[in-house]
Amino acid sequence: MAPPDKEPPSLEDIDARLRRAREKELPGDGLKTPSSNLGRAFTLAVEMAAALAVGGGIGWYLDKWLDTKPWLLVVLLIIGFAAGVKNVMRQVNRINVEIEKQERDAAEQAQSERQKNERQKNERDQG
Amino acid sequence: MALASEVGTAVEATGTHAAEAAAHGGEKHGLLDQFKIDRFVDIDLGFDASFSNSSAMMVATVVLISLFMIVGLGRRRLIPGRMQGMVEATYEMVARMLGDTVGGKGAKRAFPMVFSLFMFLLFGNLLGLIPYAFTFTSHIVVTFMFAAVIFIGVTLLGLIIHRHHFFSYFAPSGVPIFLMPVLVPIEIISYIARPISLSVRLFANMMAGHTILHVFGTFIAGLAFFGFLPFGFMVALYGLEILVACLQAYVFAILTCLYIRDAIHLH
Repeated sequence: MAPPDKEPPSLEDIDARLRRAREKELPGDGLKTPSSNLGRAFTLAVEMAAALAVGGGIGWYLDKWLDTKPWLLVVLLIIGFAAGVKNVMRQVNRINVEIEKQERDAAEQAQSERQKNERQKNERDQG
Repeated sequence: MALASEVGTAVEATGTHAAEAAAHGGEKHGLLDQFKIDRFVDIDLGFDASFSNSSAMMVATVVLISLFMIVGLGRRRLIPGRMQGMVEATYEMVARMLGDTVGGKGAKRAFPMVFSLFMFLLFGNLLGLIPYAFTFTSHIVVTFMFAAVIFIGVTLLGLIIHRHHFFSYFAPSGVPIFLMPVLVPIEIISYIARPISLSVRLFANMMAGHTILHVFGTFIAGLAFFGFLPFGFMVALYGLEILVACLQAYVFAILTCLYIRDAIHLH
């Protein structure tokens, strides 16, 4: 809470000041999604391997249980492979959305920068 | 600066280890020794519940997070100071993450859980980078337990909200009925694969990073004078590891958010 003896600055005022300070200190969003290409590639590999492992694992266990060696293992490995491809594709779509968002943000930022520069230039010319 | 000194100690540590090993004649420091569990207090509850270096690091993590939050929010100011700013930044980050994915009332309800999870993993990953510290996230038991709890919780959440409609999640819409016997098992396996990919991603990243750091530490000790070459690389690698530590905690948390969203909204 603000001290009662002093009139606190209005929230709008603080917000405007914060935004100004942020613009000065942090180009763009301060809490940008951290991402690296290596991490993305690794994610895809793990996604594929996990689905294969689950498919193979279930197949192996069912084979042991139902005594159908090796047929269910083969079938479920293939299904696991398909599931892996599906997961990888979903992940790739997610990454694409992320990249597009980053590019859009960068473009927006460049534009606002340009506008700011122009404004400053105009002010200088007038002054 | 802090980074440089940390790397310095890490390098010194490796050096002394090598010297010690030489002195003791044959005491080896294997590549994976840093992941060994040391039991401090043996507790047997029918299963092994010993207090180990891993448990100690978890306790330290919880204590540090509590301190971070308590100190940061000790003097609640309208205009935050440095500590309060840090706490608020983490809060805002998780809140935004949840708002973007889950949204609405679900985001509010899931916040405490996702926030604790994110902070625990973030602090655990970062504390593990301190020389001599143990990284509990480099053990798949730990990460898999987290992933399993999330998996079971999210599945129950979906079942409670949607009852039997939840199973329509495994039947993609707009697909001819004769393809269902093929597609449903694929969907189920891809669903079950979630906790595995979630846990393996975090565990493999942390373990690989720490092993690479160890390898380069050995290079520095082994190359004597020319050790400054891998030393330079190690400084960069340490920076990368700090990024990976934050990134993996973030990825774990955001995937949890996505799973919660899937359970609430189905697709």
